[in-house]
Amino acid sequence: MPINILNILPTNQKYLPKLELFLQAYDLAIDYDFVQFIVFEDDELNILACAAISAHGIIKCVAIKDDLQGDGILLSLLTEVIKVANEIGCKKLFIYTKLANAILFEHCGFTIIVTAKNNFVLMENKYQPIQAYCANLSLSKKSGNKIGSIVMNANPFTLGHQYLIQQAASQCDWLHIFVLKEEQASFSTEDRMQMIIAGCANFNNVTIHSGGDYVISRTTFPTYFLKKASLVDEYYIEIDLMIFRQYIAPALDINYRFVGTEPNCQLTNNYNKKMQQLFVEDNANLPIIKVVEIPRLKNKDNLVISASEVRRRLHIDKAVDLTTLVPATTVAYLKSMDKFNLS
Amino acid sequence: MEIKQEALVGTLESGDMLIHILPANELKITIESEVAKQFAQDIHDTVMQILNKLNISKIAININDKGALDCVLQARLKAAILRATDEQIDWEKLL
Repeated sequence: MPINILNILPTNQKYLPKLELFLQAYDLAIDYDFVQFIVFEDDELNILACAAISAHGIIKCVAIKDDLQGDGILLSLLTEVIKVANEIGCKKLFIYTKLANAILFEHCGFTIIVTAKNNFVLMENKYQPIQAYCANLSLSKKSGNKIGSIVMNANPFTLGHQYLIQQAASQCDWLHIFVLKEEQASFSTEDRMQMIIAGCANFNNVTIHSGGDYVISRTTFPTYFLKKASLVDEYYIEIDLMIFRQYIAPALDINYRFVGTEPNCQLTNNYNKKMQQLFVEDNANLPIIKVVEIPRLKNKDNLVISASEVRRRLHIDKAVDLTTLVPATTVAYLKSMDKFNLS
Repeated sequence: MEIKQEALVGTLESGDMLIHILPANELKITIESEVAKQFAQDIHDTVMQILNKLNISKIAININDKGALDCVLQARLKAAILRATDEQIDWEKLL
């Protein structure tokens, strides 16, 4: 049976409704965060199979026509997807799918990393496994009874961040800080890393790591980076937290995680609550991680110090005085950046 | 011979294999095969033969084999290596 392969781009408004209809039959909706849809059509222009790839290497919306299932179409489909992914420069490939379908993707060279809610799995390419990232992390393993961790974005690094680190470091033998690696609008990943490093100069029991693809990244937690809440947030929250508990924490013997209280952001609040539940529940002999919530630092007007407030002020006035919100090291770094006019 | 860039060659169809080559600091060969128990060693031996002939000591090769014959392995591997390097090819060594 001849198969015609189409590469549908997000700009192809005419074709998308046809795809939507096809996917509906399989309980799937088009996820508009994609770079290309690979579609198999027969000579009568009927869709036989499709799969989408996002800019960050996530394969999704995979569907194959009922009467063709079992014919090995998935192998051809995924070969195309892998080729396209390679062309667009995706270094790693991930798939979110139902547990029942995982076996099919295992035949294509993927392996399960974690399962959420007993049904939702995250898979990655077998030979680029999370184990390699963790083996690298383990090189920084330190001994002690209390090994703490913090995951932070630091967009930019504020007195609030510094306070959280100071509180955590004083309670632990060693503290590991994971920095979100995704490039975001205001400050580059390099900027954020530099500010954190400068702000931690006076702590002598801290190691700073890049979170890589596995700590709140566009792969493990795609909806985190969207402005609006999504129905599937709770699935991604669980995936991200389970990756931390199953892989990251054991790599460094982490048994504590510190977070700041979150009065404003609903998603972060849900995340912290879920963390407190998932990190201590009985799970295949995984060591427990104690979650410690530290009340957020407030300024003298009794307002919570937040990075978004800093960004807001910088947006209004590029020469604004930030000394009540950020440490001197951050002020120094911002001064060195051309786009601001701090004095 | 130096491996400069990534290369992806082949398909996941029955009788073929998908080979992914990456630059690396060491020699690393990973083989996934439907017939691993019978042929993984043979696949490994053929790969090493080709790497030695082309004087490649630093490379990461990931093979997802779907039951390809030795001639297919050789063809795919050589094609991948060709795409992964920008050096002048010594055709006598390659064929």
